[in-house]
Amino acid sequence: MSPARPRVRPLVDLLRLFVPPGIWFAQFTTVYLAEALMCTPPVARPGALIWTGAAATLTALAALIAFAFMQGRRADRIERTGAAFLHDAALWLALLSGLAVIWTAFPFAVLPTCTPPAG
Amino acid sequence: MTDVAERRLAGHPNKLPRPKGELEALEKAWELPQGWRIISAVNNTVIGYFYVGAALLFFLLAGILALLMRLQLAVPSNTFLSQETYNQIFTMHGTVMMFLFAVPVVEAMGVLLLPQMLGARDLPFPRLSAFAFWAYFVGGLIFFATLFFDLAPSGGWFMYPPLTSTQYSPGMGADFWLLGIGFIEISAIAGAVELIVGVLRTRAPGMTLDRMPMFAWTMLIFAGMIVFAFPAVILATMLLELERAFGWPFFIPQKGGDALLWQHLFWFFGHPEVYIIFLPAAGMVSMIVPTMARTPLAGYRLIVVALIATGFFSFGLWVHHIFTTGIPAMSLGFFSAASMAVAIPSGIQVYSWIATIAAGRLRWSTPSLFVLGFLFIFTLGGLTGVMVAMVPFDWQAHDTYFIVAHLHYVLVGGMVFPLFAAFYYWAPAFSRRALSERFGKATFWLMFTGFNVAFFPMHISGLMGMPRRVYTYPEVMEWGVLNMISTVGAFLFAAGVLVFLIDLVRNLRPTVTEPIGNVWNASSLEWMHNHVYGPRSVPLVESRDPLWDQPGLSEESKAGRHYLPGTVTGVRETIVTSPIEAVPQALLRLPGYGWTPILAAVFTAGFFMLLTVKATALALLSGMLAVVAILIWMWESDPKPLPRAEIGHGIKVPTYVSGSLSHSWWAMVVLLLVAGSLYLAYVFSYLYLWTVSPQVWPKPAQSPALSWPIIAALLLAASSGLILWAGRTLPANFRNRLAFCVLIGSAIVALVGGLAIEVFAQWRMGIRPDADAHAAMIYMASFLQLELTLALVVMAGFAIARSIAGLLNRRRRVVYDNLGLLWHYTVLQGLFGLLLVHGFPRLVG
Repeated sequence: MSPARPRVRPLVDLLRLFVPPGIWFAQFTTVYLAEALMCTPPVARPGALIWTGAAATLTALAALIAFAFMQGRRADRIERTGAAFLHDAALWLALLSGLAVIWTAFPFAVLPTCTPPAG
Repeated sequence: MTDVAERRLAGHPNKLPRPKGELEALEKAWELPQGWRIISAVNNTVIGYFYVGAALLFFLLAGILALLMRLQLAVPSNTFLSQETYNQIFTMHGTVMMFLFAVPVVEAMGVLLLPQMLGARDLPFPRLSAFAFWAYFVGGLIFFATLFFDLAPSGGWFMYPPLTSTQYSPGMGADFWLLGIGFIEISAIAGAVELIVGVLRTRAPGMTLDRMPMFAWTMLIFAGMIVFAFPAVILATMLLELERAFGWPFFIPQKGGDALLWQHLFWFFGHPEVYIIFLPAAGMVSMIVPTMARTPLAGYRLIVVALIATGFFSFGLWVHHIFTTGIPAMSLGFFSAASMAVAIPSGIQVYSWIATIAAGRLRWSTPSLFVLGFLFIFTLGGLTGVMVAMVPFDWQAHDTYFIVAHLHYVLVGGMVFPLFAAFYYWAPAFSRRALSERFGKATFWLMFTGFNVAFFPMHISGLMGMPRRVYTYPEVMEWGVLNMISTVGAFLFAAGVLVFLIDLVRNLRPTVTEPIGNVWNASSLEWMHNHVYGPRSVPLVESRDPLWDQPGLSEESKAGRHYLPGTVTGVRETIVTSPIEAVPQALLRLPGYGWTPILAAVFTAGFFMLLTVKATALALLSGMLAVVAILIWMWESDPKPLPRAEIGHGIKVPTYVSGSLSHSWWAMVVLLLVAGSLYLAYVFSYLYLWTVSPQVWPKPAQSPALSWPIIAALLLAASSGLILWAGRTLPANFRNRLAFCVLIGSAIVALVGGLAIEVFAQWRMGIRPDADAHAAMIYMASFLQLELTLALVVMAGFAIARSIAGLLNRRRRVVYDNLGLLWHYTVLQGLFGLLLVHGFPRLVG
């Protein structure tokens, strides 16, 4: 029996391309907003910042791996050239976004939290 | 593509000979207005010519301003320009170059090139293209003219408050910037909607996404970035104008505002703007390099990935423009990291071009020279970009001439050089004569030498401490020699542009019928035979490089052997294809030339400009005339359904589609993304000001009772329900027609009522928008809601009128579908606004 054809939903299929960089952007926004909120008077909880950053980073990486896994499962069912191209491009973007997520988290490892800029 | 579709698309779609009179009918449908009436044309080629020409005009005007600045700075203590005049000139130079040249010219190239490149007859909304052009041109001319009446803004191209507040910029200059640029941004968004839908829905059959020309990919991402980036600056201009006009204190620290909010909003737009300008230029390079190297582009798939990644990453860089504003160290670290990360996808593109050049044999033509010049200059700009992405270095170099050098290396290298390459490359596709290679090479060497002589010394003068935006400097500073060298370089660059202009006058002969054609042996469709209607028949595309891999394609298309070789319905048409696989889905009937787009643009410009000079009554009149022109234009935009039309290969496609098959549905979805981005920028601003001034946020007891927002929310939700109900009674007979009108009318009452109750609830608590930043933010939420509500009232009235006229029914329902989409979005936005404005203070209070 031939595998079932996936439903063609052009808008959804196109938007799938933007999921990996979207995950990076969500992680980036979360850590930036977390620092803005947790280091300023209304909230001021610097201790929670490092955990928030770690959680956001791990969640983002897990989401990217899950996305790549799901894309891999879809690959067998894709016959159309445009859809196959989108699928491959999305996987490459997941890889690039994973690097960006790790890179964005790097300041957590090397910089103290809630410190004003020196100089 | 399905098997059926593949079988259908094999071989030639149509047989020869073609019926007598078919070509004549096609030509008649696409006939252009004659003489001066050509300004009423809406065809992409004509509008593209106007657009490119206007953008070049603004390039020249802003360039002249640059020369005046360089004359002033050539020697120390110069008195050639006064301080105020210099301030106006450098503000206008930056503003005109960025807003009236850089973005419009790439949109213009998109309008001109994309239909031909995609094998379409035109873009899907020709009148929208015309409106976008005329709005930009009229608004831009008025804005530039402010220089001659001493009304020009002088606060720098990024208009930072408090310098641009009424206290420090009391005249009308800042208002002209805020309203003028806000208006021109709307025109850019209109163009972006057109380009997105055009690229996704009007490609030639068979041109799947992986066969799409790289320029189309870059224009798609460019337009997508406009959708998400421009709303931030539109919101910023609204906030500052409301502060200047009515005292709503968004940026006044004494009342809980913060000037840094402007910087965040501006650069959230401003940094992606750099890539908005660069990506299409990179797309042009990706088209030119394979042709000149005579080999396919290396790493097509990776380049697409890199383009998308660059587009996204560019939204995480905005803070690197404001590293010196006291932002916490770790935040600087995030943005510094992101600024370096974007170098990876940018590098992928550069290596792909180098690999393509290495794989082929480069032809030493003028476009090649400009591409190589671009690679050299842009790479240097990228390297200094990595330098200023490092926070400690940026602290030293910030606001010095080092930054002026860096930004010009990036922008001129990354955009102007590719653009000139594009002019020389594509001129034969649109002109009876190619541009001169001799003049072209002279242009390149003058521009390349002049550019480096002008801007390289600025790195040194910057490192020596020369600040930006100074109108003069004392002799003791030892900057004089470097500045004199920069001035000489600037004039050399200008001489290059002058040679280019002479070349244009001597050789450019624009035509819509018989361009000289494929002199470079390029592979993409714009090099086929060309006419005002695009190709005679829409080609069946089977390859990424169709003219290389499908020999004889141009001749076959010209003979009418491909799709839609004539006009089925007697009017202008193009084929709507599916967004991913480019399978024919519908026949889109396009409007002919007319006056409504230009009138709508002129009156809209009039509205904004008259508002700026505080002629409120005349402004309102102009605004109403603009609405009338748009309504007349829209009335003709939903033609009646006709029987299915055969376009070739025995394929019959519908002549009327609605829902997600309709191109207008896609346009409305893009518009909703714009509205959503604007609202997200507002939410960011609200929360940002709370982190800065939590003391002005009210305690729960100071907020209106919860019953008020609950009633408002119920009314909003009811209005959405009524719209859904109206959809079920779409007129099939007179009784339904009456019910439909009553339901739509009731929905309007509920929607307006919800908004009115919210405003009243705040007002009765004694909250006034000029009291503090929190109050201003509350009313801003209602102001944003009001804008959409007004648009919906007009659209709802339009739908009622069409139903009464018998032009809206269950089949002919696009007007209702679009109304519904915007309506439900507006209600969701309103509900979220109520939650934010009433819930957040209670949460943190």
